[in-house]
Amino acid sequence: MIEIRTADMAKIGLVLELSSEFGLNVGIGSECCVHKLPSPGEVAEIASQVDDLAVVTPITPQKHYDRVLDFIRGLPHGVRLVVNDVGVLYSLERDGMLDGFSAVVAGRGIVHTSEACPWVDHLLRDESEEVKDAFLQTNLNYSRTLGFFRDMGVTALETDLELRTVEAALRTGLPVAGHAEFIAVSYARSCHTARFFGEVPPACRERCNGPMELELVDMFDLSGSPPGFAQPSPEMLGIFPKLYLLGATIFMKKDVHDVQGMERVIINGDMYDPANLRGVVMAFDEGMG
Amino acid sequence: MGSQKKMNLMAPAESTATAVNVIEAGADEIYLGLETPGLVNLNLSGRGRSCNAKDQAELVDIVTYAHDRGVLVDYTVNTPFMADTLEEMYIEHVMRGVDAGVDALIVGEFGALALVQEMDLGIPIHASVLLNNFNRGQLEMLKGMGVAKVVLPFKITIDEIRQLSGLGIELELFGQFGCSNINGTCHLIHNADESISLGLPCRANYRVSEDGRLHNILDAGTDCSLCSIGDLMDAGVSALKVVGRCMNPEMIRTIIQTYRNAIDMVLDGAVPGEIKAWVLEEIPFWMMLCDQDRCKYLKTPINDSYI
Repeated sequence: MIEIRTADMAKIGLVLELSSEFGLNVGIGSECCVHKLPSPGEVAEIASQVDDLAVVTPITPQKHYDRVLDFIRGLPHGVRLVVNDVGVLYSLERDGMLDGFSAVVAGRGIVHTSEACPWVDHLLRDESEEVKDAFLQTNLNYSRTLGFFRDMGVTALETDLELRTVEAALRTGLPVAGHAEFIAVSYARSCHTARFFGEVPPACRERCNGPMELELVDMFDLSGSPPGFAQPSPEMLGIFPKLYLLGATIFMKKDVHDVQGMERVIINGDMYDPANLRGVVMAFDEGMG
Repeated sequence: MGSQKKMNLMAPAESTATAVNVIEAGADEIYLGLETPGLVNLNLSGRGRSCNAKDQAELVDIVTYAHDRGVLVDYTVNTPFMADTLEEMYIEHVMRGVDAGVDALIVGEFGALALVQEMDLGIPIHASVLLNNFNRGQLEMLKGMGVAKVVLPFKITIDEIRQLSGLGIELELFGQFGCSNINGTCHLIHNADESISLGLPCRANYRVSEDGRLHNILDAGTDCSLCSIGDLMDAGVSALKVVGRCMNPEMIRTIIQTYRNAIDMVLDGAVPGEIKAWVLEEIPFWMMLCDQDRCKYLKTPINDSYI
């Protein structure tokens, strides 16, 4: 099963078209930015057109806390709710607001994997195999953490489509959705895209409908006096990937297409040129058999 | 301004020498970790090897030295990652600190929090910055779990702090230095005993595809809160914390002395302009932070870009 996701309502026509053509599920909303949430009217309209709609809610600073809870309270019955903020999840569960969703999914703001670190194998280089195995899991593989989130109503999880991560995530027994190709390396509150364009959120909200690519040129060397820019070593360049910035989220790309055992694959439509999106969907559609 | 509240100054340490250094400089509390037997480069104290007390005997010495001077010791057991196979190691790690007499545990993972709670150790538990303690729901939840104090995220506004105070849980905040990204979700990991120098990836220069510019696009680092100490006290922050495990000892001593003096100045009624004038007079390198607009709680381009 494939879910195609966007936070850009200008793309929703294309997303719905692909959904109809390939039988895809649809996701809307944002993991990290409240300003990229659709309006209640947009949610209702899209929900009326698809069988399985996922609505993604972001990491939520206090400033936006009541707004996000109000947004969730207003969601149509039967949508799949993806939560990326533990405080929001707690409030929903405590106040009995999780009934009526087809699934309550812990998103990547909650589910962490060491494989999202570009140089995880370097960090683990000297550790024992047992320690490596322990770290190369998701945080929900720790039974107490899994119990903690199950008790808060979580019925499924999302994580990055990385081989060792997915293999581990499947061991939780929860249905697993994997984010294809773009691994979430980091989320920010101080929006890097807004700052780059010299705009103040939410005025910047149309600036992140597609990613920017970032190639490391100068490292910031802490050993200098004073610390400052320096040439990265060949070793650093060897482990430092090209990064992709979409709004306040930093990604790296991984070419993993093994989707065995997963409930669904999530394709973030905002990471691709709309002209290529059909091809991306077709490639995963073939992989899903 | 003119708050009557007390605000503890909290300093990093990683050895007896650094603990003595920051306590002499005026810290009210210190925080530190301990090396973890069984791990090589990684550590259950949330930092890489060599940024922690080397063994329990050294930790005991540090606790004794601190307590003799009325200084509290917070013990970092804030690994952001736990596994069933690490649980026994983690329990031993926690107990080495408890047996050494530490005053609080800083925990950075929800399952670990549940475990420590179950251990019923009789000392306060603090929720690490790694738990992303952003909103009222999270603080209410943590309070219900018995957490005494939360470390607030690096990116938070004074208005938000005000809204979070009064929930019956103490607020601790990083006043000096810190991350560009949301700490508990950032995998651009450094200072984890890597053998390849990575520097600070978020402060690096990148070629940006948008326009080909060379730009430190990921740099949202904010470094200083001296001019906001009074507002932070008024907002309900009970401890102001300085980042710096493994930092140059002279630098960290200067920073702790600076914050010690600034807090005392505020308690004596000084206004932000007086503090800034004092620090620029006494510590010329501070001008670099002012020039770069790296204020944590004043209006700057970085803070304007908060979602």
